[in-house]
Amino acid sequence: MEKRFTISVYTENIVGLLLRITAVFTRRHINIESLTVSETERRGISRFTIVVRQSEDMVNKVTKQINRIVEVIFAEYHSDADLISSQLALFKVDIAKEEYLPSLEVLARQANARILIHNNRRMVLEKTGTRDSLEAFLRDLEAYGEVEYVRSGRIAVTSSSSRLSEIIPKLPELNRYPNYSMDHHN
Amino acid sequence: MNIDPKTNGVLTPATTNRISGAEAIVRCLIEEGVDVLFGYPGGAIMPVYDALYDYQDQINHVLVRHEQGASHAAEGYARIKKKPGVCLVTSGPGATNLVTGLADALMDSTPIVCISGQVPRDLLGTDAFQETDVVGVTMPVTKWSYQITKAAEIPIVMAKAFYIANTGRPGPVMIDLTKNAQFEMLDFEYHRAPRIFSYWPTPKAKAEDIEAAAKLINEAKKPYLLCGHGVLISGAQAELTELIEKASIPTACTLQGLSAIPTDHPMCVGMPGMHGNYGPNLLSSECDVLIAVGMRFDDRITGRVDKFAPQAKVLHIEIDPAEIDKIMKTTVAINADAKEALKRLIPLVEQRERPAWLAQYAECAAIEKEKIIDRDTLPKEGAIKMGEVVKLLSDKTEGKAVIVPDVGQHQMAAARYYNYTETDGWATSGGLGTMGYALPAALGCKFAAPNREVVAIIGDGSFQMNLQELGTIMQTGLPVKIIILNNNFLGMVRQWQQLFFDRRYSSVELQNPDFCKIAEGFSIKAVRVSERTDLDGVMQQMLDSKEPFLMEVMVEKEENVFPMVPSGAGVAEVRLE
Repeated sequence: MEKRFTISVYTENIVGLLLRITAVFTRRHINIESLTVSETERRGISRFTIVVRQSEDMVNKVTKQINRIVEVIFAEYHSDADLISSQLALFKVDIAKEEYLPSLEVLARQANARILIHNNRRMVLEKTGTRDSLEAFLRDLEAYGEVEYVRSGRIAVTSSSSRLSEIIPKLPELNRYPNYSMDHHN
Repeated sequence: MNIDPKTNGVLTPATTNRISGAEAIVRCLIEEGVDVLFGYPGGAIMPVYDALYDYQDQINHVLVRHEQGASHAAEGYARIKKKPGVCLVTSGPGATNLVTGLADALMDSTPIVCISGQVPRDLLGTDAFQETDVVGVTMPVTKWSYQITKAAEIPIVMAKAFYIANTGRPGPVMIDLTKNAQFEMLDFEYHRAPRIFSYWPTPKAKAEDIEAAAKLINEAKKPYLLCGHGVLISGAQAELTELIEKASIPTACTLQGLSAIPTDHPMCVGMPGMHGNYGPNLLSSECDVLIAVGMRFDDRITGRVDKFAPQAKVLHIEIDPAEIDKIMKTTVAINADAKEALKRLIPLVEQRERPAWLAQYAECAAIEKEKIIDRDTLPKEGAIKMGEVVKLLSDKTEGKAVIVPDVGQHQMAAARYYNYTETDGWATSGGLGTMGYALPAALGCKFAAPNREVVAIIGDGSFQMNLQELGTIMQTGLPVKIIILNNNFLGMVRQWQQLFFDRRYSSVELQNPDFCKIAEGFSIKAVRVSERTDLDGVMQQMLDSKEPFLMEVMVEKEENVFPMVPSGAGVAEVRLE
């Protein structure tokens, strides 16, 4: 049964790794729903957050294939139930009629959206939330005029403790062998 | 080449001085124990070739005739020598010509390190002359790849390259080296990699998995073992033999596992898979415990997966965690090096005799012998058969040669009818099925095992895919022996067209050149055999030759390889005719 899964991949921060990771999906003709890359709390360690809609069996196989990439420290997957996740979206509304303005402000407040730019003809709003809540907000906004919409990939943490913090202390060799760590990439 | 985990952290004594990046590359190779490399020069790699000029007494550079030849030669070398084969090529076409060899090495877990020249760093991305995004092109077909853009990176990256290629599940590594990095100077200091951050090549078997595995084997009534390439890679031949003898486990060697145990070992029941032996295929639907060691359940072995041993509990011993549960759901999995896992498993496994179970295999073998093997290897009349040529070679070399087949019907004949008595007696392109592999790979094998007889067995189609490497063989003068089994067809495709496409022979008949004349053009002695009565004498002449020798045998035009598991069928539906 297909379900949404989030794969978190902790890696060394090097050029070209994105291609190697996405190739695991490309080979199996799996569409990536969203992808976010950022630095973690540890300098030099990046985190890829990849969302796919697949069977658990397939996600398990893909995660193992990502895990064997040399620069991948570890990869794991979670279903939505195990995660606290969020996405960020920006909405640029070209307000059709000036008299809409007050109710648009009310709507933004109710939705916990932040107003970034605001004049009589245009409003830029920022909102975080799940994909569903962001899309629902988009539909609400469309009643007020034309909307330009951009949404970031998903970022997520598990509700349990982080595996990165468990694994990192097991890598003391990092300091003993500086030559063989990621340092030479910088 | 393997780094002993126990010596983690013990750095080899450092050597220091100020040299060019190009010279550093050569020094790195020497530090890694490389004594031969296969390559082809060109603009973007010229500084390294210039540096090689000063090290000719330490490194033998073999000038191939096409970079694909270099890649397969390196593979052949690596397979027999158990350490990475090395290729050196220029940028652009030099590097792209390696792609097939890289893909081949990745599929068959063969350690090779390929170094390509690249345009100077400042020209990267500008479509400079002979520029290709080599790391991008080769990314999906390498275990690891890296672009070096400054000389200072060279020792570290090279140490990583060799370490990654030959540890864990071995594979190909591509190093792209910009020209400026070859000219720049660096303070050279080399340490072989003691380990690498974020890369754990050798998982340790868990005690509970070993115990569960032993229990599974001890409780088995009809165990059956598949011995894969991993047994040869980890050097676990002795351990495997001990296990199968102790517990009386009929064992089939996969195409890449051939020669891990002698073909005539009492527990060896042949080869599984599409053109494997009758018993291993048929009885896979009867075994109750299937033990897979260092293999990956390729579809040519399993046939239709849901019909492959569905009744059996599966024990999988495998170093690559991504292979576990990829195709077959395991009951017990041991994620570890085969040698380590087997060593720990053996004491827990109970001694057993299984005469009735083994007799079932013997019965199948007798049927196969009568219906197929005798017909293939002992024909009295009619055209020469591939099987009898291989059988004769096997007898004459007492099963001790290194056999390097190409890809096709002749490959199956070589796998089935050579009686492998000496380990590491086999190098072939299995996973990728690369036609053109054998000629250069055989040369690589000869460099790795100069004292063993190395015989390439090649079809007329395959031979024409890399025949330019006759030039390389000529120039090295190494006595590589070549048998062309010529049926003037792309035989395997023709067989499929006959059986599954209603005999509509579409582009499979070859109008061939005179192979003997071609060989003679390369100053290689060549003899054509058309009559059965000449076979023995010419083969003896070939084996006695101290120089390269090509023997072309005109074989039956429309011979089919049986047994055969039709594509998409279960292996128990194996056909004998």
